[in-house]
Amino acid sequence: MIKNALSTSWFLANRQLRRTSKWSHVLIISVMMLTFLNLVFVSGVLVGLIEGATKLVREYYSGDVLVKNLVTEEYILDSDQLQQSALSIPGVEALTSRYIGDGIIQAGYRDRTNPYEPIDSTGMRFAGIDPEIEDEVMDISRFMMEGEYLEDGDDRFVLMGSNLIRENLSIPEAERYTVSGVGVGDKIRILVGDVSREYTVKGIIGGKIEALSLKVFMTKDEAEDILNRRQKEVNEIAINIDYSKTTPDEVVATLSSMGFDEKAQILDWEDSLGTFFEDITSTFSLLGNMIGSIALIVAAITTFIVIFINAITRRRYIGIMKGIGINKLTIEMAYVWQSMIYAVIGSSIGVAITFGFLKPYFDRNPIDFPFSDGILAVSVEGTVVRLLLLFITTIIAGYVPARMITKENTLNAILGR
Amino acid sequence: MIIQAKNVVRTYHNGEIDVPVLKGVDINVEKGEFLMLTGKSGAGKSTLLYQLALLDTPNEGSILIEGEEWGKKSQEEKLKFRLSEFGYVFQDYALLPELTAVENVALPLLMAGIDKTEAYKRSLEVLDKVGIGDKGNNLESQLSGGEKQRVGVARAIVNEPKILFADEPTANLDSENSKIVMDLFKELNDSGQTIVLISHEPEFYGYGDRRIILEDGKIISNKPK
Repeated sequence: MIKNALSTSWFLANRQLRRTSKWSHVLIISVMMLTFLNLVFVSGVLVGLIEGATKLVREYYSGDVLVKNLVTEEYILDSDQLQQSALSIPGVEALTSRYIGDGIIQAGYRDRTNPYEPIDSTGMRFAGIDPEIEDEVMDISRFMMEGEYLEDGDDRFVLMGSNLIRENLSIPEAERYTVSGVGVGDKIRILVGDVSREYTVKGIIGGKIEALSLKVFMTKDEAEDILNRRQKEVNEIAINIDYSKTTPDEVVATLSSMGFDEKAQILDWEDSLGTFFEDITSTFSLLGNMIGSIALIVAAITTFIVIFINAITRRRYIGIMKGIGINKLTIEMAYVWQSMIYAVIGSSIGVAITFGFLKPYFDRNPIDFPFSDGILAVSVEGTVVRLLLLFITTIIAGYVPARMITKENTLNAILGR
Repeated sequence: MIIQAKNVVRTYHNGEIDVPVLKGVDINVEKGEFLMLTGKSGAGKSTLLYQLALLDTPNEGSILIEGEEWGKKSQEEKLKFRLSEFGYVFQDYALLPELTAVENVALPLLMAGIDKTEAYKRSLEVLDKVGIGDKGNNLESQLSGGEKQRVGVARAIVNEPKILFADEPTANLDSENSKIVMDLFKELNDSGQTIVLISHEPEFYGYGDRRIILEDGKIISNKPK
């Protein structure tokens, strides 16, 4: 009986689709397609915004694996040995190490006329890098906004993070976290503990990566000196890998198995970002899904209305079909088939547009957000889930109105009363 | 006896008003008989046909088909029974507009589980039998009134039903087409088909073996031809 109902309902749905108005098909398929795009696009852009930011951090600062000193230690223990071991792991391509320290930056003190006037200063974090290696591994010179990148021997020069300069920020609170009027060639003073040194700003480094734009960069020799470190006692080691040969997790596991997890924090790039990015990704994903859900409800209502109008205008024919012995399941299934066909065609067009046009387009032309180059984050798994959601919603939206009409008294339907 | 209706009462409720349409009708239909139901408009002919064809449920009384009580059975059981045992010809053809003539006729066969090729073959044979074998691929909109009703008849008989019901099948046809359709019913009856047909056209009363006249929900005459 069910087999007959399925085949007869397919026969009815097929004929109805082929011989009714093409424009109503175009309308409902367009709604399906736009709903699918809305489901994928909104959450894809929101999540892509964060993914774009994390991608920048991974590519230009943290690397695929980031090793940091333990919170209880001043620096990474046995860091030289750790670097050599990391480079011996198959698939590890390159690494760069950094000294990290906190201090105070002072600016404008040379132009001060009143000695009692407070010096323009702010707290900041600085990084001591090997300019050549850092640029080779992380390509940070591409973020130079003004001036020139550091070179070996630039011991009394620094690169200033653009977001440490007040004029680059428009928020009122910026005054507390920035110094004013610093440009290329200006002198600044850096205070670390009892040490105070004057540097010339060689360049301004910026971009959308806070790890770069909120730091001051100096050479390793200078950082070693100012931090009073020796023997390569670094704070960060950023490691890049070849994904065809290994994964961040494997590198983390290998270094941990060598016992380095007791000497440093060994994190894959995702963990190195901390929970903030994870939380905001979840939040944006939720937000995207909420907006997408509204689209889904709109699609369900549209399908419901189209099928309901179709069924109500064919109420008498439904009565006649029941009169000649076509059962309710068959008639209901005919409408469900139609809804499914609409959903399949609409979402197939949506998938083609998403993966054939939108994703490649946004990969080539990221959206220029203030803190990220937003991409369209769509995964195959996520797309399949959204397809299923749209499919199930459409089936329900097709079934309910058909059920409402078919459960009516046969004679009343035939006689239109 | 193929149909036996005993003391059938049908009252419709129009708001708070009860409208009695059938007031205790007894009727028997013999196998192979051509029964004409006649009477003035509002006499209860169609309502009686709906009860006999199991499209409606009487408030009182019973409908026996080959001795088995069917009046009180579930809608699903009645629906299944209608598909396999009854044929029904509607006054205004009631063809599905998106189906061609042959598809309309094949629909009950497909529902009964007959293979599509076989269903189409049998449907074309029946269309041929009713004289419109060449119109199989026409949609309803491409058929004349007489042709539409012949498709309606073909659809009703394609399942080889035990009983064929027809509710004023010539009401929307001109005299020429009405005669063609009534001749078709006569031919079917001559080949053994039991028919219960409503007509208010006196020129066709003679087609039946017996004529029942209804008035105000009661049988006032029940006479053989």
